[in-house]
Amino acid sequence: MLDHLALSESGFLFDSRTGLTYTLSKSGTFLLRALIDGADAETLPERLVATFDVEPPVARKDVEQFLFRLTDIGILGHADADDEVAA
Amino acid sequence: MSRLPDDPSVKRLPYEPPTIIAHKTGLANKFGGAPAGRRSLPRIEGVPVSELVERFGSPLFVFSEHTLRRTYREVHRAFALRYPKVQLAWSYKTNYLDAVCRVFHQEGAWAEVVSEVEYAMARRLGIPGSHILFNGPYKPEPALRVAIEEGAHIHIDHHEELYTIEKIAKELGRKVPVTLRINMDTGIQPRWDRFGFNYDNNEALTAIRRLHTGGHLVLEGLHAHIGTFMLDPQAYARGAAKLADLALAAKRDTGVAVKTIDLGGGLPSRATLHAQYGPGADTKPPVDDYAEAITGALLAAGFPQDELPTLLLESGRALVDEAGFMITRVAGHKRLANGTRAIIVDAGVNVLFTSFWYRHDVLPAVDRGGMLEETVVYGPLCMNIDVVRPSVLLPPLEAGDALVIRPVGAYNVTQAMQFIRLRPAIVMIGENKEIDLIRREEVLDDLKGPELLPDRLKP
Repeated sequence: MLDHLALSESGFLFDSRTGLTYTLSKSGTFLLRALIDGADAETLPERLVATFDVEPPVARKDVEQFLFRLTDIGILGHADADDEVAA
Repeated sequence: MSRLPDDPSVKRLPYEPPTIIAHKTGLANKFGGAPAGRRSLPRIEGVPVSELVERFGSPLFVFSEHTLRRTYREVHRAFALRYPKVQLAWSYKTNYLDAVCRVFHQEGAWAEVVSEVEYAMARRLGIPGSHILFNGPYKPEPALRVAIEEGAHIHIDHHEELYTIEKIAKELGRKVPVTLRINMDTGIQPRWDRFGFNYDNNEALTAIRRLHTGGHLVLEGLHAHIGTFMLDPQAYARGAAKLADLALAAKRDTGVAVKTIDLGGGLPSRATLHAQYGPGADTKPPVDDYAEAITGALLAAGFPQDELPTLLLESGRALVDEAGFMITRVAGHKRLANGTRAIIVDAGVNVLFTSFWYRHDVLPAVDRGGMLEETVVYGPLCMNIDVVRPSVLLPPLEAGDALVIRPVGAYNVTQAMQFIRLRPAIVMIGENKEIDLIRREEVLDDLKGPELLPDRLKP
C-alpha cells in the first residue's frame, strides 16, 4: 500500500509518513504513479518502453536502479521500520 | 500495452531516466534559491563541439586564439590608458604551448621565464634576451651566464645568486644590470615572503647598498610577486607603493634611478575557487581596478617625470585561462551508495590539475532536457582523488555525450602528467575559425622513450 504518497502530475511527491518532499523526473513520475495505482513492479520496464522512447535493455536497467533508489530512501518497503520513523 | 513500441502509429515521449531527488530544507541563501538555469555549450568559437570530437577525439583541449588576443588587449589597454610606459611579459609556466606563446608575442608580450628550460623555449620562439625576464629562485650558473651574455633581465632572488652574478660580471669585465626580487606585507594572507629580499625589515635596501658597493652590478629594476589569484586590487596598490618607496630610497642612497618596476603576476581569471561563495565571473574585480590601483600608486609616489619607471607585469592566468576548454565525453553512470548521481568522464585530474582548486564550469554540449540533478563528475583514473567536480547540476546524460569544462587554459597543459593515461591532443581555433592541431595526442613512446632497460632485465 502506497497511500501515504501524494504524487502530482508535475512530479512533486509528498510522503505523509515522514513529511519529506521530493521531485521526480517525468519517467520517474510515470513509474511511481503506476506503482501507486497498483502495478506490479515486474511490468514497469514494459510500461516504460510503451510510453517513452527508450530501448528495453535500458528500461530494465533504469527501472531496477529506480526501484532500488525508492527502497533505499524509504519510499518503498521498509514497512517494518514504520515505528522507527514515527519514533 | 497491446501495441508494440515500434508501432509507427505510437508516438512515444522523449526519455530521460527515472529520477527522484529529495528536497533539502534549511539551506536558504541570500540569492533566494534562484535556479541556476539550464546551460549548455554546443559550440566553441562557433565550431560545433561535435565536429571537434569527431575530428580529434576525446578528451581534447581547445584554445581560442580570439580570446587570447582579446584578453591580452584588454589587460594591456587597462594599464596603458593610465600609465605611459607599460610592458607585459607572458608567464611561460602558465602555458608552454608554442602556439599560445606566439600569439602573445605577436601581440607584443615579452617572455617571463623561471628556469633555463623556459628560457630556451622563449629563445627557440625567436624572443631576444633583451625581451626576456629571467625569474625564479634557482638559476644555475651556466644559465645565468647565457642570460647575461644575451642581455636578458635577471631577477635576483637571494644573496648566493647575487654573488654568482657578480662573479660572472667580474669575469666578463662589464657591469651587469639586474633586478631585485622584493617581498613585503601587502595586507593579504598568506603573505608571500619566500621570493626575494624583504622590504619591511630593510633587508631589501641593505641588499641594494651591497649590490651598489660591489661595483659590478647596476640596479635596473625592482620586482614583487605578491601572491596568486589575488582578489584584492588594493594589495597591488600597497605593493606598488612600497616598491616605489624602495626605488626612491635606492636613488637617494646610490644615485641610481630604477628603470623598471615589476608587479609580477597573480591577477585572477574568471575561474571560481572551491571556497568561493558566488561564481568567479561575478566576484572577480575588473582588470581596470587592478590597473587603477597599481598605476595610481606609482604616479603618486613622487618620481621625477623623466625618471618614471617602466611598469612590467608578468600575467599568466588572467591572459590565458578563459581561452582554454576541455572537451570530455561521458563514459558511464553510477548511483553512489548514498543515492548521489555520478558520471565518469574520459578526462581526469592528471590533465585537469586545477580541478583541485577551482569549481570549473561543466556544461553539456547538448542539453536534451530532463531534470537537472546534483552530480559528481569523476575522471577515468583508478584513483579516489580523481574528481573533476564534487557536485554540479547536470541534465540526464548518456554514455558518449560530450561535456565542455572551462576555464582550463592556465596551468593544466603545463602541469598535465602521464599518469595512468597519456596526454590528449590540443587544438587552436583561429580568428577565422580555422582549426589547427597544435599538439598531437601522445603515444606510448612519448612516455617510454627516455627510459633505458639494462640488458639483464630485457624480456
